[in-house]
Amino acid sequence: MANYRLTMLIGQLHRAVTSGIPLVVVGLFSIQPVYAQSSSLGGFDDSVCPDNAYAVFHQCALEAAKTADPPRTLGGRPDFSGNWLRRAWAFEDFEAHPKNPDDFGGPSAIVDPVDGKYPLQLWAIAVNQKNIDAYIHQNAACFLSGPAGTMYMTSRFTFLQDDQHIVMIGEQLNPHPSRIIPVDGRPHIGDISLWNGDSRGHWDGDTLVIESPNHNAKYFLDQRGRFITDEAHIVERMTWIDSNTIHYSATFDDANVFTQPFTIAFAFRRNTIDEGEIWEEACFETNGDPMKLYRSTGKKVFSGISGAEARELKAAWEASQ
Amino acid sequence: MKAKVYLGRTILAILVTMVSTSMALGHHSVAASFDMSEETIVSGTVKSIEWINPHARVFLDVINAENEFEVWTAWLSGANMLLRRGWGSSDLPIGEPITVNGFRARNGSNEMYGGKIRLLDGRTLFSGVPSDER
Repeated sequence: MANYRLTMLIGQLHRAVTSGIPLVVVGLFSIQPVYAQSSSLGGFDDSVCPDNAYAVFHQCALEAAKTADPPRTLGGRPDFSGNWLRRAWAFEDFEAHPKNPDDFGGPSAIVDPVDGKYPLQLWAIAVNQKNIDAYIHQNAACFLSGPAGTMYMTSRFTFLQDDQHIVMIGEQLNPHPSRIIPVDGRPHIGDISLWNGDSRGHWDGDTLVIESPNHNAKYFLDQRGRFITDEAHIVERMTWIDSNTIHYSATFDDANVFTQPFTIAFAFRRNTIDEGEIWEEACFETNGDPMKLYRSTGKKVFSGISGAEARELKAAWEASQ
Repeated sequence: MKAKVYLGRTILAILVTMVSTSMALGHHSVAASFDMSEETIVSGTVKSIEWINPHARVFLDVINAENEFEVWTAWLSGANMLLRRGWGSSDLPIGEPITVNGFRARNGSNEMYGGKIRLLDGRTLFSGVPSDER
């Protein structure tokens, strides 16, 4: 059987070589990568804020929101329902980073502070590097990315809304990214630890504000091993800008890790490229063979750093200085 | 970027000039388990495929440069992404000669993350996230 297969294989390779592959190869090399990066990250002319570059979009959206006239729910709240594509590379690196075989690259997603730098405390820099060396990204093991990470890890979303809830259904890694967020004033669940936190929404004028305490922080914020503790305060804000655009921002405040709060911002663009249907994309925890590959590198899945652990690490680092 | 090539000797000389492959696959880093500092090129025939999420796989029968028989695994994006890029599972029929450009597993096994697959009829299939979903 093996000899037969080998004979067949040799014949097929011979056929490949003698039937034009060299010509095909020459043509192949002229094909440019489809991920070439423009300065605007691909703008949207049908939006009042067409530029996807984070800082540019953020400033434009803050102004546009002042005169926006959103469609409204029966209860009079801005209606985000529809099919959307997030436009962000924050999942690779919050800060500006070049294009390479593993990254699309792009400018910093951090709009505050305005220098676009991640405001990491000195002690945490070493921990951050250790994270990169010792752990694999949670999504590789089909785990979640936290309330804000869910919004920039997944590309396709359907938002559904009534006056009691907003439901966010994402495709990648589904059904995990789905979020069902009450907006009716009910209290947080309370004594619980969840991957995406205990999200509740409320309205600040026409902006939906989502707060998500009780998250487990067992996730990297990006593919650079950046982290928060379970004591971090995460506030997301969503504002309707025009019929094709939602302004999204997330502010991370964690005195254990950062020198100051920081905010990322990006656009959700209405999906006009297809019908926007969300398909099943099952991602089963520790998805078998891929996990064997990850584990063969000696890396483990990140298990998080609690606030108490962070304070111990910080004290140890300060004592060593 | 260097390129390692695993394929029949007759087309080796053609492929060593290969430019780097663009991958940028999305929500988790590929570099964690695949060495992206060096491109690997594998030619062989399709042994079987797994057209599933979150990552599809193509298994290839390969004769290496030492004329030894090997089976390679090329990891791809998930079936959803591939379908949206215009791929179908029937585009890679069993026995089809293909060349895969990608990056080899860090553990040294005959596994790679495939970014680009070239078929005998000249079509080139890209793995990764569709450009309109960046």
